[in-house]
Amino acid sequence: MNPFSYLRPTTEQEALAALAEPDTMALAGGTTLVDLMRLEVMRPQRIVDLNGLGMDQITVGAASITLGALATNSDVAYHPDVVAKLPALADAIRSGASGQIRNMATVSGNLLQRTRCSYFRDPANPCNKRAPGSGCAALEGFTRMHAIVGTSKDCIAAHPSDMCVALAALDAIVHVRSKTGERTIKLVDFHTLPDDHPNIESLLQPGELVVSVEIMTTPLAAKSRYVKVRDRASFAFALASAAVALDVQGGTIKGARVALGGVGTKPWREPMVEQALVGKPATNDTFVAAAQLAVAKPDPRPDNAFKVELVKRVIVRTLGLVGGAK
Amino acid sequence: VKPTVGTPIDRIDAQKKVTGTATYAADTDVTKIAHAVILTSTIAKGTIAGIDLVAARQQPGVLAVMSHLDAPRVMTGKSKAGGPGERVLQLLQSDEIVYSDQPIAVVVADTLERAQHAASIITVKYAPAAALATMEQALGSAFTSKALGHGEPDSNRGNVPTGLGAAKFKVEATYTTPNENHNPMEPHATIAVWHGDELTLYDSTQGIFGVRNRIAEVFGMPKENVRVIDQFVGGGFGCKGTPWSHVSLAAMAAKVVNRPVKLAITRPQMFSLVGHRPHTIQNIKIGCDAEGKLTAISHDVFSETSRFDEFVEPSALQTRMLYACPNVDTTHKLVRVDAPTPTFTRAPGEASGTFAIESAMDELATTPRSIRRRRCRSRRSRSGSATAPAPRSSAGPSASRSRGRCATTTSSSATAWPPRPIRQINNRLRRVRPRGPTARTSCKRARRISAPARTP
Repeated sequence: MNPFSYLRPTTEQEALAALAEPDTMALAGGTTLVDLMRLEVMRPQRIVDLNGLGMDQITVGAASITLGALATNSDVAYHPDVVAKLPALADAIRSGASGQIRNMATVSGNLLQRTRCSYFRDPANPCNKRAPGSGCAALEGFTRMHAIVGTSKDCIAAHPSDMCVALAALDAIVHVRSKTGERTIKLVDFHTLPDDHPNIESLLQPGELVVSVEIMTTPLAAKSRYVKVRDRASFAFALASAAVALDVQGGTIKGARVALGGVGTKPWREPMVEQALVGKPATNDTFVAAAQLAVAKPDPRPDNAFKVELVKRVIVRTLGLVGGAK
Repeated sequence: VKPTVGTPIDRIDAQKKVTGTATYAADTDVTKIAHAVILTSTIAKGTIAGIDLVAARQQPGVLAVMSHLDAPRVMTGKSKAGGPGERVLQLLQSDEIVYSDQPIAVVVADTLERAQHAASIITVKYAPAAALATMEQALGSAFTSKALGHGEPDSNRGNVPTGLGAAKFKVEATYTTPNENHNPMEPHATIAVWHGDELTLYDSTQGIFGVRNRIAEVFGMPKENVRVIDQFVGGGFGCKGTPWSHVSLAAMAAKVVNRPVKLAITRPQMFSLVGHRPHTIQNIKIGCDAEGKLTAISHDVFSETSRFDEFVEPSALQTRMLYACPNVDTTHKLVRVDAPTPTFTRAPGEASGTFAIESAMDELATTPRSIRRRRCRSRRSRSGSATAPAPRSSAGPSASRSRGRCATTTSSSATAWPPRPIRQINNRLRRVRPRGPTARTSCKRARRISAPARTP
């Protein structure tokens, strides 16, 4: 771990000023950052610890729930209103990491967590995400955990989050603040594709701070689920996962949201699948036909080609759980 | 009088271990201790063309940085003690790289974090050579080694070609096992303390005398001058059986800085510095006659070893004695790859070898006329008494097959079928598992089903 300076501001103003400095990282739960610093993957000169700012409230409004940036995964996943009104989000968080990590990990940290690509995490290997222009060791490497959509010639690392998959399906909005003002970014737009700049992973600019994430508590969101398939029963990243929300009235699908994890370089929303569901009867045949449209034009490798079929089956299973198909 | 047998007793170390007060090697409280970290190579084969230690040496708290350019000269070769666990050590004596993550420098500082940071800014230039990572591409270079721990590398009983020729059913299959790493909860750690010519090592080891003897050889000192202390071992499984390079490196570093030095292996280094069970390729041929009696077994094992040592994974040893069969051939061959030397890993040979031979037996049992019971029978009767129970077709109802290939009896009365009550759950037949001694492999699984249920 490289030497660094440590600042624990108590006001947001102070934090925003500090974050505008170069080579500065914000510290929330530390479950990614500290890990990667110990591995010499990240070498910030300055650490700004956000834990003195509060920002950990979960606010239940009339039409939405707002998660403070520093609310822990555990607090969100077991909040009674989240469980009742956003079940996919509660499912997704509980399926990730371990109890100890969820007690530390935060909402904004989850949004900004780094990939679990083993080549990214090993400084001895080339990685365009860690060292831009150095190359990608994963392209010819072991790729069971890697993405099959959203890839580029420079990076095939999968986005590791479970929580973000649920947030993508539930149309979450990210509230961001900086010294110059405030803006909102749709969660589905928040993460960027690797293209030729895999080191840039989100629209968040230097000096900007995620302050909260807001999710509308619609009837659709109340009928949502998250299913995750992985190599171990717990404490493993998704091979494929799906967050699904369905509004079924009189046996007909009126609204649908489908987002995927484990397969994309970012949380992967599937509008084509959603369109194929709306207006159709909530039957297994509908689900199977719609799922076939997922991960169009996949870019699999020998180690992860199975994900193309697997993720479609995960979609069907999740739709069945929500839509009650016979 | 209270009976001794069957009466639970407390482990004398239980309280210390569950309360975290047991002093493992790295927990030993030594004054003025310095911390060492090992920097390892990022190539698997080649030479170090240049190593820049200047910046590392200038970091605050750094006491010494050793590389092949200036490390104390010591004896790295194979120990005179011999034995398969006595391997060549990598002690910064040359610029040669012989495996990935080989020690190339040691940094000593007043704190662990300062040592780690200084090590992370060392830059190394390599002249890499093409490395062979696994043996698949080099099976032609396989050779027979005398380094097998017990017995000869090859064995022969009867005539396998004749036995295979006489077989009614045959299975030929290749089984592979990957490298396996021990990774005990407590990684290896050594604290080295010199008092003049005498050396005390607090070392996480399964064998203090082996460490003493090897260290005495490395440093060319009388073994009476080396004292090795280990109060607790937090798991070893074979990888702490004999000393690896880090033990000597800790002692070398302590000599250089003239202070006690603690050197703990990191978790990633556990995959390269302290041995592993080697990757194997095992070719098996088995034949049996129409009645299911084994007529021949051959078991040929290829396992990987390093460029500089010979360690044989003895995967076929149990095949020589496991089943009653008149014709049995086994061989063990090594292939050199550019990787660290393997070592003993829990049940060396048996764990990798029984997987192969028992898998082949399973295949044979699924040939049209299942012969599983005869194998078990013959095994139970040790000498392989010629009389085998009748084949399944006459022993049980044809439906027996649907219960899975282990659902068969080993009892001497093969007519008792089914051997245990079958309980119907969710429209699927499930065998009732009697509580009893746990089983080893497929044959025992079958026996467990037939054993009478015990109540504890």
